[in-house]
Amino acid sequence: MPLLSEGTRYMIDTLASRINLVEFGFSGQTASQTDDGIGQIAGSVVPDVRVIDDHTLVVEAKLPLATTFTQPLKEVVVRYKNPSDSSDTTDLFRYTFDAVTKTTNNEIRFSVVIEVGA
Amino acid sequence: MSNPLSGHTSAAGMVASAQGLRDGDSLTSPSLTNLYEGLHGNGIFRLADGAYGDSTRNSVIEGNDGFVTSTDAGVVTVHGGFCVLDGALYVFGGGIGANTSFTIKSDTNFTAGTSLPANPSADSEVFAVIYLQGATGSESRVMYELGTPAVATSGTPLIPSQFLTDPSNKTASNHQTTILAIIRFSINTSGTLSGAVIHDRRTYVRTSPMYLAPITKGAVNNRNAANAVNGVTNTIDSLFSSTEAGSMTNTQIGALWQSHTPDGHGMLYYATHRSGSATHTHRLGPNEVKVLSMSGADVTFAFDEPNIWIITTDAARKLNPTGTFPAGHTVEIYHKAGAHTLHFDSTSGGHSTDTKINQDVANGEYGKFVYDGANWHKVNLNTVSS
Repeated sequence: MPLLSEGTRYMIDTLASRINLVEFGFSGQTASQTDDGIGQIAGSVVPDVRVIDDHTLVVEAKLPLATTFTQPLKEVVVRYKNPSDSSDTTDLFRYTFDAVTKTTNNEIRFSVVIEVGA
Repeated sequence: MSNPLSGHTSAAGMVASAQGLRDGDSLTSPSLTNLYEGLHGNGIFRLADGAYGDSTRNSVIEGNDGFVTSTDAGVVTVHGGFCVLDGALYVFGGGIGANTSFTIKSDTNFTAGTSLPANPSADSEVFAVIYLQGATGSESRVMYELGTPAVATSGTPLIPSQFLTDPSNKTASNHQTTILAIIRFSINTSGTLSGAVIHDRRTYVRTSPMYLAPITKGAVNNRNAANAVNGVTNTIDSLFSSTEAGSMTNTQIGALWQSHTPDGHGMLYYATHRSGSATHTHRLGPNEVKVLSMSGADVTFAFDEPNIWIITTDAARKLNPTGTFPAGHTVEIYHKAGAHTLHFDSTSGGHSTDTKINQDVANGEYGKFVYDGANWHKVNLNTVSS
């Protein structure tokens, strides 16, 4: 039974309203559908979430110049965190990437486009 | 001792947080733009590149050409030298061994058409680009452009870019530049600059020695007469044939290259225009001397063969130029021994156009002849004293 267009839009709006955190981490363990989300957390950023159209939204997060870590970053997770209950979190997406050292000389911008298909 | 480029490539000789081009270093736009300026021939003309005994030749230290230092309050010192911008050689920063200093935000040697940024509302970071321009200006061709400050906890300051389009001012003719450094400053709400971190961005141009690969139509090391690229046997346009032939002939464009003579000696050739746009190929050197005892036959020579002849004759002989010669080509002949006549450019067998000079260089005489594009002329003939 296909997801209706109205349902697709509902999914987009729900994701847009729920995604409220992007976590950067140090673990380079290959991401998979069944992993446990963030491996070794480094820092959190409140993302900018925008709905592009009825089946697409974009999530953007930036680590500014002042943010530094002693280890290179290797993973990023898009997360929902219940503002009223810190133990209520849902990791929605996890990606790993080639190590990047975050110093006071660079800025990291993370952008991801999320599509919902029927 | 270090590679003089290592200030740029690995931040050697700079402060610990300076950025080079190593893995993990942060690139800024001049990391690329100044590379293109270097490819276009703009950069520091470093005299130490030719001075192999110079004590600062292999170093990145204060005093090197274009080395930038900065103290608090935005005082910047640039050590002098020479640079090439748009083909012109300029002295900057007072020249070798000197320096010039200026204060960012106070002195006016900033990019024309820009304005200094307002003091930020919170403590911020800002980038200044230090570069060279053609016009002398107040700081011996050293200029700066200041970017827009950004609060480090929320953003990143951007490198300014007006100087890329117009590094001097709208009325200047030389619009090319080279960057010396990028300086990152902290700037407070009063506009006071501090904590300078200098990123070396210098590029050097180097023109000497100029290596010349031997040009031949044959394989490597082939010096057959038929494969010489001398402008006659093969022209510089005939390196490839048919639709792939070059386009230099009759363009007024010049070319300099090394090929070989029929005797297999290296020869420097220069093709240029004369009498309009017509291209002529000249041999620049070296002179080629031939010590010859003539035996049983006259001798002919082309323009890429010996131009100085020391001859012993065995009978009445002729020494004749043959083929194409460029105007201005000079031939010298010393008839060293042999009680016979030695005619240059003889009536029978001389060069193919116009009037033959048919000059006898008698035994013991020296003669010098020059070609005007149509005929040979005697410019000297005298007895060589013993």
